Amino acid sequence: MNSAATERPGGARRKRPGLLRRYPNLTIGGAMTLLVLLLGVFAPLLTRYDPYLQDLSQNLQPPSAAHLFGTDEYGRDLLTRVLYGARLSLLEVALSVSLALVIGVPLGLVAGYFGRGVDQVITWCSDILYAFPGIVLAILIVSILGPSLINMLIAISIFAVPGYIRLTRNLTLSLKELQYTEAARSLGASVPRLLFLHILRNALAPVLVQASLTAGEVILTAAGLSFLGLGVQPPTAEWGAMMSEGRNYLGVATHLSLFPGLAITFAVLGLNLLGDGLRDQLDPRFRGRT
Amino acid sequence: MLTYLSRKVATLPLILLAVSFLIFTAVRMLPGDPARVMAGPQATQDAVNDMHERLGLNRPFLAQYGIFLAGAVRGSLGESLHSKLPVTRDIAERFPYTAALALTSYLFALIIGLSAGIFAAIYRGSWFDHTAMILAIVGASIANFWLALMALNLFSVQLGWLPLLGADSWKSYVLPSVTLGVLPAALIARMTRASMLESINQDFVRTARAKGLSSSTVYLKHTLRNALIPIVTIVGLNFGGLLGGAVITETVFNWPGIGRLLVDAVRFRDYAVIQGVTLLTVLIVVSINLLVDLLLGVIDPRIRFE
Repeated sequence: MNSAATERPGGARRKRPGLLRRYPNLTIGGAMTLLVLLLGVFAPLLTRYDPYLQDLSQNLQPPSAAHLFGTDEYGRDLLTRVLYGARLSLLEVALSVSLALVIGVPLGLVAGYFGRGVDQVITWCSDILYAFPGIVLAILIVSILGPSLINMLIAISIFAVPGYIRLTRNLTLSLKELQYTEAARSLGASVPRLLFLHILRNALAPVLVQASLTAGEVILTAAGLSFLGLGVQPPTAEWGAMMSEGRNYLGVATHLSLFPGLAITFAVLGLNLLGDGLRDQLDPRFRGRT
Repeated sequence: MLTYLSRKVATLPLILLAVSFLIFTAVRMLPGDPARVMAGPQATQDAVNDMHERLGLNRPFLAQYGIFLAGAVRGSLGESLHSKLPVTRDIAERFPYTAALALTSYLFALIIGLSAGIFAAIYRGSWFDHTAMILAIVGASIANFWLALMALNLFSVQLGWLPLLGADSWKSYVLPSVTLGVLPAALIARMTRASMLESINQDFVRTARAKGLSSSTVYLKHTLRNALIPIVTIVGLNFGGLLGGAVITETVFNWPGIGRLLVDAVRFRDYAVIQGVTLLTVLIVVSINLLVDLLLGVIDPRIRFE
């Protein structure tokens, strides 16, 4: 039977709605994220310019056939720098989300499973971190460690950690009471096996949804810190740092700020739609709400 | 209610104590010697030693924290290395600008977010619903500093309608408030719509309709009131995000608030100011969260007894 069509009782064939109609957020968000990923990965093949090679005779050129997004103050092709910026932004997302997951999820599992004093200490620490507005905590951490890509990623990960601790802890609290966990425990499964094989496996979907929903936030915060001069430093092709450079040429060469900002919006919109779509599918409370 | 209130209020000093210790420790880990910075680049070693003595930096760490805490309780947060003025004075001068910016942008966010969310839920599936929700997800994806730069370029540089920088008149508030308010407006609109849709299908709304009440009474008095809990929660929890956003917005608009004070303090390695501003933002966030908790207890009595 054709998977894209269903048989009606009268024999007439009705086409099933396509992916776009059934999962609009997931499809559009997935396609946008995939596009950013492909553009970032294949950036060297998509442009003939070097993102760092200066050509002062070509500086501040408006968009043209030779330079689709124009050139910056050092004559570097802006489209090339935006494409290379996509690479860096995706790397930032992958590294800081992974770091936050690696720290937050085990702590949440331990807090939820053992309860009592362990839970109180972990929840208390998480509440303290929660009290800081995200970017203020990131600024504090970056000012201690010094402005650089790695330090910025550590800062962003640390402020994302409490979200994962809370989520995993709450999921563990309910999962540890379920029958299959009881059964595994009575069969003599060790605590790490219970936590990571039985509980985590069933908590994975909401954790992944949370990860995809915070991915867009990572790009925005990283760009914000670089814009303030506390993240990635020039001449690295990073969207926030590029906007910071372009800020001095507002009204004269607005394209310097316009295109990196559009790239951020496109990438974050894709990730947010993907996160919404995943949540709609994986979290039963949201199914059919939109 | 009194037990609920006292339980919630009792946690505030404990969190502040822990946060102040964390911030104090973090600031002591900053690279560089504050005594040398304060004494000046030409200062002799003796002058630096004197400054160490004056600032209490040669005492044990916990004693230094004790002195800082005692000062903070009395309203003294030390002296700025950059302006040489008391930090509390620097903050007192700048804070009203940040407070005014936060309030105007939240007012904008509430008006736009609530009305868009309510109408999108009432007219679910209409062109208004689709447009509002597309705008809301785009609004939640835009970097506010980029929006600020683009708005500055259009309305100040190109059209000349609004002032370029500073906070001199009511016109200066328009662009910073709107650009800072876009993200909370988008989040409030999405939450209001989702929460209203959940309430609209409940039995009590059907009963209200069956009683023959007008649509506005059904939607505003019955549906919205019951949809308020998640809306109030998101409004409260996002205030911290708004303060964080203000740090960047103030830098773009050269706004004389505490956000710019913090960024400048990081550049000048002005430890006392970093410490003071961070502590103040945490105090505001924790207080707002407490206020939200209390408000939720008032809106829904069930929460008080949990």
